[in-house]
Amino acid sequence: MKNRHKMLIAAAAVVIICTACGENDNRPLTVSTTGNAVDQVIQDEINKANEASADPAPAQEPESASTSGSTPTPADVPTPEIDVTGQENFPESDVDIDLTLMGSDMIYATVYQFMYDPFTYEGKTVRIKGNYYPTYYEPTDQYYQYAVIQDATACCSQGMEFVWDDGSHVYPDEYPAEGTEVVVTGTFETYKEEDLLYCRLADAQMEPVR
Amino acid sequence: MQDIAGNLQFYFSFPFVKYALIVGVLIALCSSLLGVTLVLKRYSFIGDGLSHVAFGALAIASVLKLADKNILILPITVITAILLLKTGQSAKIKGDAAIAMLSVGALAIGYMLMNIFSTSSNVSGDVCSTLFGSTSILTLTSDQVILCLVLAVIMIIMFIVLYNRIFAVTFDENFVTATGGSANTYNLLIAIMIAVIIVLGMNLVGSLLISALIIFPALSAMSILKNFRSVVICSAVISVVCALAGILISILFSTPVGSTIVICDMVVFLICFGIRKVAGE
Repeated sequence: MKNRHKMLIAAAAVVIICTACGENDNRPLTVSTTGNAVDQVIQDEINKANEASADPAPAQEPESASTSGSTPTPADVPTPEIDVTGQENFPESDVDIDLTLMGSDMIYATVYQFMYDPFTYEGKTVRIKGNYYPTYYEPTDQYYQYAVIQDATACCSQGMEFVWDDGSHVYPDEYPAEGTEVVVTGTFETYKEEDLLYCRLADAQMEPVR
Repeated sequence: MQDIAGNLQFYFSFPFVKYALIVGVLIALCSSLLGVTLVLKRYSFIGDGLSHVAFGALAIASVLKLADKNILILPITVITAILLLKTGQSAKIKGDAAIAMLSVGALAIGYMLMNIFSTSSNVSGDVCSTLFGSTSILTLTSDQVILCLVLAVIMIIMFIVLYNRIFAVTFDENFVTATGGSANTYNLLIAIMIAVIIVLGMNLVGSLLISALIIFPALSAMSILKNFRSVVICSAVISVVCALAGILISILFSTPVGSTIVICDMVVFLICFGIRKVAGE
């Protein structure tokens, strides 16, 4: 009886250790939610924006994508006329995953799934509500546009990149001010840049929440 | 009410919500089974200490960029559990002091490592998520669910097979020794099982709140029942119901999952405590 118990304990210990080591690492190529360069930049931008809002001192001008002269900050520019045709281009029935209908926990979890397993969602039409933040990434000399969602505990955020229409809109003239709450509807797609996989909402319609 | 039912139906179409419910129920069940033994043996604080050690181990695993962090977290937590029990038997550092020392030490080391060797752009978010669970239960993958399922089944089978021995070692270690068993071996086994449950439970409620899952259901059941078997069964039912309610409430009303489950456990404890008072005991 004693030996049987000892054997059971030993067997259980072996199984526990083996199962703990047994998680497959053959997951598909996924988008890192923490480690890629653009995410790092967007997080820095959010931190800077938070600090700026807490600090009454005037905010520093962001770098412009434009090569000529100084450009007014998005906050200084009167909110432009935003194309609000999103609802018409994407009627509710055509939206596969509508995050505007979800609570913040579910939104966070769903966006996490987009990042973890992007191929499952490729080609789906997604509607998302978040705060608009642009970020400039020097190596590619490009501005990237994000809708950033906070989770329920307000300590974690997920940013979803989007390309407004065909990407021809000029930043910052045509974009809303940083931090503006926007609804973005677009087609989920993945793309590679610098050998890293990213995902975004392509051909997206963006409208600010009034 | 129809809105709530509609929302639930909509949310259940996502696999990760089903995963969260499955894992939540399994962790709640496992933690409650051993919770009664821990409370009765005055080991309640061990769960808290081990969860902080698991946090420290997680920080080391993050720094080492391990793909599967459990490879490191599980052995470290198990070894610490064994050391804590051994230390409790020696006189140099008393059990409660050893637990407190390890607990705060591991927290400090973990936080320090996560800050100095940060692999993430959002350290505070990672720390918050690890300590309080945040919404991590809703971000489980199918592999993690299978791992949890296997470990939970092992835990439950071991508890059922060793029920009589666990009962004996809970109340009278001398009796176990006298009947040819080894109390130390069973204490060791309980420590290992608790360590595994804590590692699993970190996904559900985070490392700071995991001891609530172990203690509250046991205390609630012990408030209204006296028989060991009834207390264990009642504790399991309370724990599973609270975990389910907590997860559903949190996804419906966008509250943090871990805190919501613990608050459900607290409410049930207060109800049970009230029932005992009303019953005049």
